[in-house]
Amino acid sequence: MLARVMVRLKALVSRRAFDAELDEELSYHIEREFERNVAAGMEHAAARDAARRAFGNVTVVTEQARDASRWRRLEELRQDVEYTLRTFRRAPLFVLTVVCTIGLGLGLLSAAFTFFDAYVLRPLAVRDPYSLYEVGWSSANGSKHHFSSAQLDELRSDKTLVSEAFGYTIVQARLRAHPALGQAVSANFFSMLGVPPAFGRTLLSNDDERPDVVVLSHHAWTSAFGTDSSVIGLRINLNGSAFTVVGVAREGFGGLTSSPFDFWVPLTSSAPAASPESRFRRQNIEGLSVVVRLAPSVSRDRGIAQVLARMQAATADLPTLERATSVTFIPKGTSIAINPETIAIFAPVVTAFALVLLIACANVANIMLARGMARQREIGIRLALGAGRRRLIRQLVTEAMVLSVPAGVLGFVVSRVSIWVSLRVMFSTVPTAYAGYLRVIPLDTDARVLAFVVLAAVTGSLAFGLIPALQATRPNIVQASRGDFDTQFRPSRLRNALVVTQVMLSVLLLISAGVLLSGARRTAAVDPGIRTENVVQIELLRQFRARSLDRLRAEPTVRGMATSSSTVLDGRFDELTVSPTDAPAQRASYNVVSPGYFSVLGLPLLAGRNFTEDEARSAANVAIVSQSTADRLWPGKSPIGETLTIPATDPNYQYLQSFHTTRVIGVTRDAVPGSLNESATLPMVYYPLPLDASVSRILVRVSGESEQAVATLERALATVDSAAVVEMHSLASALALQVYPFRAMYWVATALGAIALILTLIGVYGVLSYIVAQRRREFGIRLALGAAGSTLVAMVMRQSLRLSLTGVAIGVMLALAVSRLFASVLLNIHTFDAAGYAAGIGLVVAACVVAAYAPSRRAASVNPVETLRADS
Amino acid sequence: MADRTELLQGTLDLIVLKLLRAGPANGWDLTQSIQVVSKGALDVNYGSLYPALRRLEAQGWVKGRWGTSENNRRARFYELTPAGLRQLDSERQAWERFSTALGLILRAE
Repeated sequence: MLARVMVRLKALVSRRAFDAELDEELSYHIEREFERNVAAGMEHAAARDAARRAFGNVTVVTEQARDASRWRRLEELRQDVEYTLRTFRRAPLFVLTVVCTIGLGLGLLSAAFTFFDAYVLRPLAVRDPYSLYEVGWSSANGSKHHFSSAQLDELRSDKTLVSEAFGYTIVQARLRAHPALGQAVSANFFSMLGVPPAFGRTLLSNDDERPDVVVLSHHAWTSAFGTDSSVIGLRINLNGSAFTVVGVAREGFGGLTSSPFDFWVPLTSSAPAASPESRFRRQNIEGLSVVVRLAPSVSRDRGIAQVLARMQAATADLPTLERATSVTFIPKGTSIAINPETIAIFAPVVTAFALVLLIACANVANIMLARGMARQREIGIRLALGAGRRRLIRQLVTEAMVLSVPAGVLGFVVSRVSIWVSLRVMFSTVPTAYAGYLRVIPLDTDARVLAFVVLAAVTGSLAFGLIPALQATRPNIVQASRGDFDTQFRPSRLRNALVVTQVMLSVLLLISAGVLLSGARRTAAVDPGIRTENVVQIELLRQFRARSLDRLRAEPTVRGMATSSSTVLDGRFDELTVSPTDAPAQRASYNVVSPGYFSVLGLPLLAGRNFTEDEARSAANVAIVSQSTADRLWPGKSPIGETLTIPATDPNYQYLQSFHTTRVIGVTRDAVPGSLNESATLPMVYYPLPLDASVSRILVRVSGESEQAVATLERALATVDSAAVVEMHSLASALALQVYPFRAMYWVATALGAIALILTLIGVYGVLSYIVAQRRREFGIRLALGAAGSTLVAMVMRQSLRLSLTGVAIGVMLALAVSRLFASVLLNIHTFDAAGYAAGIGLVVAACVVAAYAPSRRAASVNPVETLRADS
Repeated sequence: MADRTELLQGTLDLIVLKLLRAGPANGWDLTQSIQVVSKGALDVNYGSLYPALRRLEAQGWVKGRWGTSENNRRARFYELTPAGLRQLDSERQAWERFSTALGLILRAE
């Protein structure tokens, strides 16, 4: 079958086959004519002659038929391509420049697209991914809620709404000393997603009764177990409990999130695996995230409406603020759902990369234009010999298309290399304590990426090929064939426009980089209000906690210890409602801490006193508030001795019952202990907790360098038990992690800006060199008439500056719009960032001056006698 | 021979389309049909038929495929496509309008 198709294809494109067919057809005709003549009684020789005569000239007919057929265009294309290749063989440097320039721009854009494709466009490799939704609900007070397993079961039982559903929580653990994140999932997780094991088995429905089993991701199996196939049946330690490895999931599967997971355990085993601090953190005890597969006939909107109705019924008894008011369905078909926010985040990034390609294209268009001028004589002659303008344009566009093939290939290579490099850079620059948790979904090249590369290469070459072609084929035949095209042919305006565009785009990219850099600096300079130097945060496994604390007390580097129910610098703290006497209730973040917390984190008590050890041990009814809380709840008077109540309706009430009514005993400084992106003046309430409480998180103040201290403490705690530490990092690295996204954005913007700047430099240099070469004769005359060399240098420089300043002016206006966009999304970004603007403008203008210098010197060094003689 | 008429420019395509409407035919059949139907009045250069067929094929109005002729030899047969049928209708109308108008002008005193 395939062979037959190939034969047919070959016949389609082969000129010889076409001729043979035509030949056969024509000889059939002549043969019939001959037979008729014979039948009419003619002699054989005469009959043949007559038949030939009646038919006419066979060669001419063949020519005409060939011209009329649809294969003529193919034939012409072949000629064009052959001609192009011949021309290119004579100009290898030109080809190299064009291919490298376009390849670079195309490669960077394709790399950006590969990320976008992998995270946003590629459907997850699970069964029917587009019917999967992660469900969440919010109450009237704005807090987001998870589900209890009872709620999950109830949701699942309604088969008219969801055909399947699973719940999960995230589990942090160490897999053979490798930091790992896993999911505790409902037993139907793998069967619902249709994910088979690579080998062994996945979770089965009866695993709920036998919860000490674990399925590894293919990645974890490779990195932590060295692709050891005898891993099945192995007993491994996860957070102090033994689990049996029953299987390895299919390669590439990492769950439904943008950060792939390393292992899966049954939800029923989550108690030993998850953080044991559930007493204080509502999410962890019953806080299930739920993913549903909507029943086939159910639309997303109907699903939302039905779940909302359910949750409203379930929360109807609660006070107004606690009742469910909205339900969200996040599509899980791709790693990151496509919605306006995703597009708002990706669009500027992809645009920035596209701009670099645009600058590269402008450069190539300039080169092509210069080449078109150089070939003016050839084109003129071809026009004079009767070549159609369309045919010539087609020839020139073919040249561009032929160039796009190697450029596309190079672009593809550049995209793979730059992805590899950027991942390497990311892994080596992210704060070390977190690098181990960093996982990237596979960034493979798929059909979409390939289609994108081809499309971008073709679009780019059309852009840089067509415009110069239209320009170059315009001139008057007579003048052009003499090589004289000054009067009619004025490509300088187009060339200037291209340079102005380049300068404009470089300014835009560099200013954006500068603004982001200032933003990163400003974020890094945000004072979180707590000590971040010399503090190490450790999550201990509960059963080893007491012994670990003893071991830490004996450690000479340890200067102080505290415990905290919330993780410091790891996102927003939990919130609750507090009502002071005689004042309206307020939402406030809270943390339950041991008395040492304030001294370890360097938070001074501005009024009143700290918790005593006795108060901590007895969970006394006392509280410490931040300065802003005091100012907001009791404006103008001392908060010491005032009463704070947690309403019984608060979702956290049952965990904080002992602090139902508390007396404020102290005021501490404002701080942003959770995330740098929140204001320090948000209300914050502290409740007491003894150091030896069963809370897993402890904060240790150490002497000396904190990364070194992390290593020392790891070693010390390993003597207690190899599984004693779940996770450990310095607060400095936690802070660095929060600043990291800004730094990364700044790096990308700077790299793009630098590449854009270099391309622009080349572009300006090329254009000015060309202009100088074109005006040699004029310069020669000027010099002969007594103009000073410096005057000519100044002339060329002025031209360069005129172009660059025009570009800068437009670029600055665009940059203002763009940085306003940034500022609206990100805290710490300022629209009018003088330093960023000055640096961007300065760099581009300097680059233009540098690029103009060499051509201007060349203008001044023209030998008047030689030029005048040569051109006469 | 003297009273044979030269073919008008561009009318060969119309003739071919019309003849193919009756059914698939090969090049030689078509030349015979032209002779027979026009009662030998039209002077068709047989050679020019083949470029015309290729042109019509390139436009997608006819489709050529190899078949067996009535004397059991391999011959290329052409067949009208639906687009060719539409083209025939519109060309015939145009031609009729043109010939009516021309007739009116020529008969006017």
